[in-house]
Order: sequence, then structure tokens, then C-alpha cells
Amino acid sequence: MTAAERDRLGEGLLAEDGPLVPGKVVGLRASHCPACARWEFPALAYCPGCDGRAEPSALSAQATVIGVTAVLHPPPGALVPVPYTVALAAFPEGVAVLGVVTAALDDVPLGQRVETVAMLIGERLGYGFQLAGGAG
Amino acid sequence: MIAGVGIHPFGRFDLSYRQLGAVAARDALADAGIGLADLDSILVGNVGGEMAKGQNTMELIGRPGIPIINVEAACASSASTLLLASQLINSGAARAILCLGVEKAPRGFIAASGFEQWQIESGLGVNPVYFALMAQELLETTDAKAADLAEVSVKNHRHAVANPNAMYRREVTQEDVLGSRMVCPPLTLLMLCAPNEGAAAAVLVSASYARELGISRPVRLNSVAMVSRTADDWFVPAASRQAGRRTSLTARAAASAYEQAGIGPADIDVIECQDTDAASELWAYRDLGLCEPGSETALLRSGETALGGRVPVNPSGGLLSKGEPLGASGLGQVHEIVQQLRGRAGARQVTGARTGICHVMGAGHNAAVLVASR
Ligand SMILES: [Zn+2]
Repeated sequence: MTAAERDRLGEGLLAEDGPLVPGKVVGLRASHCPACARWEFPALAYCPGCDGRAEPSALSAQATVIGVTAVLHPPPGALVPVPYTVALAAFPEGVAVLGVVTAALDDVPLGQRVETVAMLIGERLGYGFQLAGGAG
Repeated sequence: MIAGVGIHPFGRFDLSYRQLGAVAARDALADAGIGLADLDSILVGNVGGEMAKGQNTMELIGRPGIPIINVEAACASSASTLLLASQLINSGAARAILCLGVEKAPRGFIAASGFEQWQIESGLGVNPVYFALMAQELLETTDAKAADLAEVSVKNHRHAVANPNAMYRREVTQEDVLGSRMVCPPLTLLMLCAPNEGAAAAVLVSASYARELGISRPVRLNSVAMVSRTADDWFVPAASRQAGRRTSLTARAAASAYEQAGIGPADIDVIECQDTDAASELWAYRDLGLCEPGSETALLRSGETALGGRVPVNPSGGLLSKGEPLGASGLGQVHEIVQQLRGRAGARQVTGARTGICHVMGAGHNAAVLVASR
């Protein structure tokens, strides 16, 4: 199996439908409410802010870390080797998303810029964050 | 009215969940001085058990033939049984209900907290990550230090020494807590509660039935308030939150419970709160209205939330010392508060306690606060 043919992890997490390789910068598929401008990830059909109909859309690739910790002991079912860093990253659209960062905890201070990338998780492609501008 | 309470100690036992539950249920009925035949229904809170768990548990103590209803809301399962029971009794639909919480949780991280499979495989289905991020927010936005987080554990473990129902009854120092294994920075192992086993129960009755049964000094259940997620709350297992704002489930539950009971935070003498981790207790100080935002550590450092202080929090030792048998933890809190209000808490008695509250917070965005008094 080539990298481009790998299955996606989860349903509709990544905004790109075409072939993807691990490490490619991507946008997350989210939903946007035209009435109150609220964003949600993963996408919702209805806006929890105003109950209006929400529309599928893509988040910007870049975000800012507003919370960060690490997982030091293997959680049941996780396919990411420990230790790994988990950040809560705020997108310019106003929603903050949890994701694994491809950097050590000490290298991810609050305020750090990160970008969303396709990440190989087990045999499938999910998402993660890499330091913006870094090679991941 | 709370006519009686019962408990099976929290810890690790060579007993089935059914056996644990049967002990607590019998204990509560005996404490209330009533029998199964006096009940209208039985509500059972449990998270991880099998089909018909309440029915299977009650099989060990009798066959009353009345409705047995199972309720699940993660760590708010017990509180859910109390909410339903109080509403049924207040409406006149029932006059006596047994509420039972029972759990036999596996060791370690709680895996099945409602995460989607992609979250679990991506390494994001980890409850302590959420607690760590909340702890970090407290450290970043207030004067709280890691030593304050440690002090919450020190305080609660000190309280637990006098609690025969707690799993850990050994005092620890700040050095012990800070030096224990790091789990998710800034949280160490001794700053996190351990999922475990146990059961607790309460018999709720109407005021008139309490008189009829000759229960001399029942504890009054003034209010039970429970909330679920609104737009801007954030807890396990949500993959995202709004970046610029976060509302508090606990604060909404507390406001509702206080309003229904006609009390305010200043009226509270004793509190059992959801100290899933050390920072959660400090957040609860704010969200339960015990202090202004940013004054959580000042309140802790003042000693007012320790036994002997103005409003002791977690005199039982809290979940940090008792462990966290998910479906039973809320009724475990009620057991403690009822003993406190009766003046029967022994060496951990809060002198002159007249009004107490219990607070739980569960995965799936549940929070509940109840007010009890004598
Ligand atoms: Zn909207």
C-alpha cells in the first residue's frame, strides 16, 4: 500500500479529499454557522450557539497553543508511542482543538505557533500538529 | 428527607460489584430502620457493569417486586438517582426510594469515557489530559503553584486518616506528592484520584412518611441540581472548545442548587466536592462560590477548607483518598455529609455542621450539586 492510498482515521476530520501523505499541511474539516459565526470541530450539522443550520468548512492550517501537556504512560488503545505532547491549539476562527504535537513538551511553550498536518496513526491517516515552519 | 445512608468502603476487594452493592443497600435500609417492603422503587447508579445490574444486585438481598431502574451519567450517576428520587417524592409519585451507587472499575486510566475511536487511537482519549490542561490554566491565570496542587492532596489525605471507608489512609507530604510519578504535567500520580471499587446508598422518603416511620431526626435534602453541556462548556470527551471563552457546568449547578434551597455559599458548613485531581478542587472553590476568581490558593493556604477551618472541603479525604468508584462516588459524598450533619463523623467531625453540599462532575459534561441540612 502506498502512502497516498492509506485509509483515513475517523470520519471527515481532514478537509482534503484528495491523496494525502503524512506530514502534509492540511486544514481540519469543521463547521461554521453563518448566523452567529461560531465554528465547531468535528463538524456539526446544527450550531450549538444559536441552533441555526451550520455549514461544513475548513479551519486554517495554523493555530496558536493555548494549553499543553504530555502523556507519559501508554493509555489503553492509543497508537501513538509515549511520551507524546498534547496541545490545545486555538485557530483564528475561534475554536481550539486538541491534538498531538510532533515535538517535545519543552519545545512547545504557550503561544507557540503550530500547523495542522496529516499524521500517520497506526496504519491510518489522522491529524496532528507540528511546530509552524518546522519539518515535524 | 434522607432517612438513612449506607456504604461499602472504597478500595480493591475480592467481591463482585453485586456483593459490594448489596452491602451498601442493606446498610442504608438498616440505618433508615425500614425494609424492602416499605420502598416504592429502587434506583441504581453504575457505569461499567452489565445488563440489569440493579436487578442483579438486589437479588442478593431480596425480591421486593418493585421497579428497579438503572441510571448512568458517568461520575454523576449517583447524583442522577438522587435527582430522580427527590423529584418523584416531591411530586407525590413515591414516598420511599432506595438510591444505590455501585462500581467495580478497572485499574488505571479510564478508557471508555465516551471518546470516539479516532480520539483513542490518536492518543487523545486520556482523561488526565483534560485535568492537566485545566490545572495549567489555573497555574497560568492565578498565583497557584505546583506546591498548592500538592497541598490539596496533602490536606485530603490528612483528612482520610480518620475515615475507615477511604482507600488511602496514610498522610503524605508535599514532597511525596510532587515527587510521585508524573502522569500528565503538571499533574503527578498523587494529584489524581484512582478509579476503584465501592458502593454507597441512601434511602429518600417524604416528610410525612418519615413521621409515619418514626424517623426521629432525618437529614433534609434541600435541593438537587444537575446540568449538562451548553454551548461553551468544555470537559471530557470533547475534542474542541471555544478558544476565547469557557463556561462552568459546576457554577450553573451550584447556582441552581443554592437558589432552590434558598441558601448562599456563606451558609455552607461542610463540602464534599469532585477532587478528581488537585486542581479540580481549587476550580470548585471558585465555581461553588467559596471565593472570588483568583483567590483559590489564598483560601486553601488560609486553612479554611481544612478540618478545623470555616468550611472544610472533603473531610472524608475526597476522591484523592477514597478513590473514585464512578457510579458510587456521589452517594459516597452523601454518606459523608449525612454523618457530618448527624454529628457522627468521629475524629473528622466538622463542629456544629448544619448545612452541607455535595458536588460531582462527570464525563459527558455532567455536573450536580445538592444541598442537605439538619
Ligand atoms: Zn450559530
